[in-house]
Amino acid sequence: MMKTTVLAIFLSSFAYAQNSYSINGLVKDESSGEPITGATIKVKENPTITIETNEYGFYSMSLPENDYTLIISHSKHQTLSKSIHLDGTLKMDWSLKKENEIELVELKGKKSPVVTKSRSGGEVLDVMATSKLPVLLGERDILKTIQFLPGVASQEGSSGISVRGGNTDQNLILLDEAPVFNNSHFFGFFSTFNSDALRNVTLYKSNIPSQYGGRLSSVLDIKGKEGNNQKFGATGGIGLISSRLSVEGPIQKGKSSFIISGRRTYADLIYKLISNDEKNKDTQLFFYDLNAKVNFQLNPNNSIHLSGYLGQDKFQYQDFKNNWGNIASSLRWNSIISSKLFSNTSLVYSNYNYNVGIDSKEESIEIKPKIDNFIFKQDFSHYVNQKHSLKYGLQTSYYNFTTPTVSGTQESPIVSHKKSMWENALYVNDDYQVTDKLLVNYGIRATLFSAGKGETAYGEATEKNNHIVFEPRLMLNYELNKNNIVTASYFRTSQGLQALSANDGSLVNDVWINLKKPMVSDQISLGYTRKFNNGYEISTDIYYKKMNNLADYKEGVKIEALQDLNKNLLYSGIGRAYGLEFMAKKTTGRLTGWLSYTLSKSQRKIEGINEGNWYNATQDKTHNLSIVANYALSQKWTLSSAFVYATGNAVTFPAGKYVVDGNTILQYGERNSNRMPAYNRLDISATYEPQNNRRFKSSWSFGIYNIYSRKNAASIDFESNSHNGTGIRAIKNSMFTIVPNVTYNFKF
Amino acid sequence: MMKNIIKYFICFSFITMLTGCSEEIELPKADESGKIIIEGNISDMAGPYYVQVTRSIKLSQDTGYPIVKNATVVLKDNNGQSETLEYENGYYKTKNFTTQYGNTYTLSVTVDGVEYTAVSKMPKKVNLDDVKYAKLSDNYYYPQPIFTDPAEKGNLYLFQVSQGNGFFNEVALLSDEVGNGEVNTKYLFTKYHILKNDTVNVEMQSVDMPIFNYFKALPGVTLNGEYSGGGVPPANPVNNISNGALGYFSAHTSEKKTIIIQ
Repeated sequence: MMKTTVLAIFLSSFAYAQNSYSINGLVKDESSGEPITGATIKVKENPTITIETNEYGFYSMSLPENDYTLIISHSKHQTLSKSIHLDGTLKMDWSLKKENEIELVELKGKKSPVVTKSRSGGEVLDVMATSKLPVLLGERDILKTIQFLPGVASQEGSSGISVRGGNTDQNLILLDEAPVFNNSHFFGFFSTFNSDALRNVTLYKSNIPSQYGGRLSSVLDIKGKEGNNQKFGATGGIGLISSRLSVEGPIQKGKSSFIISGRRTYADLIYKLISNDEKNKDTQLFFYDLNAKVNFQLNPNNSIHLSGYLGQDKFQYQDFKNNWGNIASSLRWNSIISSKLFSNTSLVYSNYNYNVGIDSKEESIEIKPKIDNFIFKQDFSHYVNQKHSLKYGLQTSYYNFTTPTVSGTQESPIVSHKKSMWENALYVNDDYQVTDKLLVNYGIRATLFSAGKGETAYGEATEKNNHIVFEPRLMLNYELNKNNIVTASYFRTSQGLQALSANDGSLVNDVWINLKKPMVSDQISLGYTRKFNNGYEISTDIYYKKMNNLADYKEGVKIEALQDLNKNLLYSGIGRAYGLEFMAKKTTGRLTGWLSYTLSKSQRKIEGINEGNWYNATQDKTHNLSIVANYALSQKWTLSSAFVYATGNAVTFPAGKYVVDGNTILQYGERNSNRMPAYNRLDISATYEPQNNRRFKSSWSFGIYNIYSRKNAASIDFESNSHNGTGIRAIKNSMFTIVPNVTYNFKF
Repeated sequence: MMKNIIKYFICFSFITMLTGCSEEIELPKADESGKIIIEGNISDMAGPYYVQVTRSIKLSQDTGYPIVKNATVVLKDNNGQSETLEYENGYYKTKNFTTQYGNTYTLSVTVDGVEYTAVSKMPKKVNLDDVKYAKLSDNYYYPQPIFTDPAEKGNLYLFQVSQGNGFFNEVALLSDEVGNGEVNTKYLFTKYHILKNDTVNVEMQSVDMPIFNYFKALPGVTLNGEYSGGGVPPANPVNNISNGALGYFSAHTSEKKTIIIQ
């Protein structure tokens, strides 16, 4: 009896003292060794626990000693489960099989291009799956795919995106942690991102977790492929205007790998062949880019990743040239410090520069603005217990801005003007599983903006040079039941620099400068998602955003890029944007795709512009509709189509005319109170994938852009009527009518 | 320049020849015509000086610009001189008004009970010593005004360049932001192509800052003018007239020279 009691007490106290043990590890793709972000791990015995792998494929959780069955799933991979007996810290790495490799027989295994939502509210795009969507000239482009999402507005022929009524320079675009300042090639017709080199793309617009900061509207977090650490392979494509090639493989099998991807367009070579004009023989118009990445697994807990991007555009026509380029590079050290603590340390260097000039007998001028950005970042993922997982860290970022200015002497009329800025930030956030239905992510980011030593920020020397912004971030995710989810979020963001003259995504390069005062934005949004059993899902979001300290060019004066920009700017502008977003998607079956619709308004108000009244932002689009459909016709053929309809941009048209000194002058009224004609377009494409042998895979893709050849307005000019000297006529210029394409892709 | 590049680019990059087209469309409906336009010039030359008051018209309208005949136009200076101008043949005209370098002039135009005022200061005189010219590109000539910029900074010059037979009349601007206090070496880059044997009239004006900035911004809103581009929505140029009237009032110096390109 005594014995039993003692045993009972002993057992119960043991039960109380029972230790929780940590399980952690990395989740990778079996065939390539690429880490898998956003895979979920569930515990069969305790359904309230759901853990998601982080952006480097790492997970960690704590459970009391017991027998468990762990189930790991990911939308693009086969679900896997393992039974374990947990009686100590367990390191457990997983290798998942790609979904379509095991379901060759069944059509439903075809990849669906549909965007999925991550646990932290980001929209995740599968880069490979979007490859079948129709695109201009066959250049697949994740930025173009993002333009099909609700809340994202764009202009034809531009890679600039406006997220929820923000400006095109308010998106933080990160390629392996390094910011990319100009995301366009060819004046914006193509993006800087070569899809062959990318692994994962996440867009945050309704909740920006506090590890991100520095831009107002959104974060586009792009992770490059790590390179296959199992076997060598090559991927490539030959298209109408460009070709690309990627080579990847292990350096040490299973441990370290590399990938190099390159791309070059050759439109100019063809042009030279067909052009008879001697003058045009010197014409240059091409871009190339290069992505390279090397990874080393130092030991099971430590790895080093080196990633570099280099892109360059060359444009030369007669005596005019415009060349620009981006560098985005990072050196990262991933370390599993303990079973619960994951660390990522990054050193980043980014650069954007351009060189525009005219070299003729009349005048010779060359300007070379640039921005350099050096970043040190330390991030920790800390899995505290089943309910809390923390992210915290710091970031210190130094910017150098070089802008050209008039020197005042006739010998060398242009000199470089240098400014600098520090942006230092601390952040923390907690992913808190309050109940099995309620998930809260709350956190804060504190950012200190300081003008560099010996330099004042834009503005007067006497003005304050340090600005600290506290940015609270909060997201609630409540599952009413399995199929009904309500989300709510509030966040504040700040931005200390701005790209001038790029607000409409026009063909002119942008100049980055730091601001007198950081811009601040506050946004609230509320969302509801309903899932249906047969793969359908609808979701809707409403948001309201206000922005402060916006700067814009003065009105009614000639803006000269060579002048001190400070003279041309107005500060203390405010902005507001609000809207309703709706998305319906079908994720399984032969037919997949989505419909996205946004109803929105975005306005600005700055003393000195439009008489101090509210006016429409250029990116303000009342209606924005996209329909994307993907249909698996047979094992070999996939058909895709995309339809877009959007209200025209807000523009200022003349509202009268008069005469000064004998010249006809156009009279302008309220700013941006007119509209370009509404935009619409239908693209289709077909992908043919013959069943090659296991090692070599190839595909053909055929597409037609703007199939009904609609002449969408790119610009509207006003000029005198040639038939009648005094009259004025309006001329609509359009860029792309029907454009076919064919691309051959291969992989081995 | 930029406009051409864009046009070129549109034509060029899509060698498929399936793209890039322009077509005439209906003029926009927005109408804010009926605004008061004032054009007033006084100079160091002997009067009379003229002020014109008109109204803007609809974009689609082809009948001339309505002249406002019932305005009250008063010209004053900072020394108490004041004169009400009389209407004659489309212009308001001074009779006795005199001007002096360095004085500040105020123009007041009252139309239907609304007063529009403008202030302009006549700068000091800078002499136009000579006008040279050079063939800078292909077969085109560009005039080069010869004058010595005063040592103090901030001198602004407006040149009215016209052809002998009045075939063209263009404004070119120079400042001393580059080459302060030096003999001018800059050319006047006219859009009109001056050819051999052309007679060219060059009028040099010293103007104040608001007038300089107004004429700098004007080509951006002139029909068939320069491409304003750069993503900044077009707007009426900032001028020196109050109450939303368009146009300008300039008190400036004036010196003319005529050259024949040989």
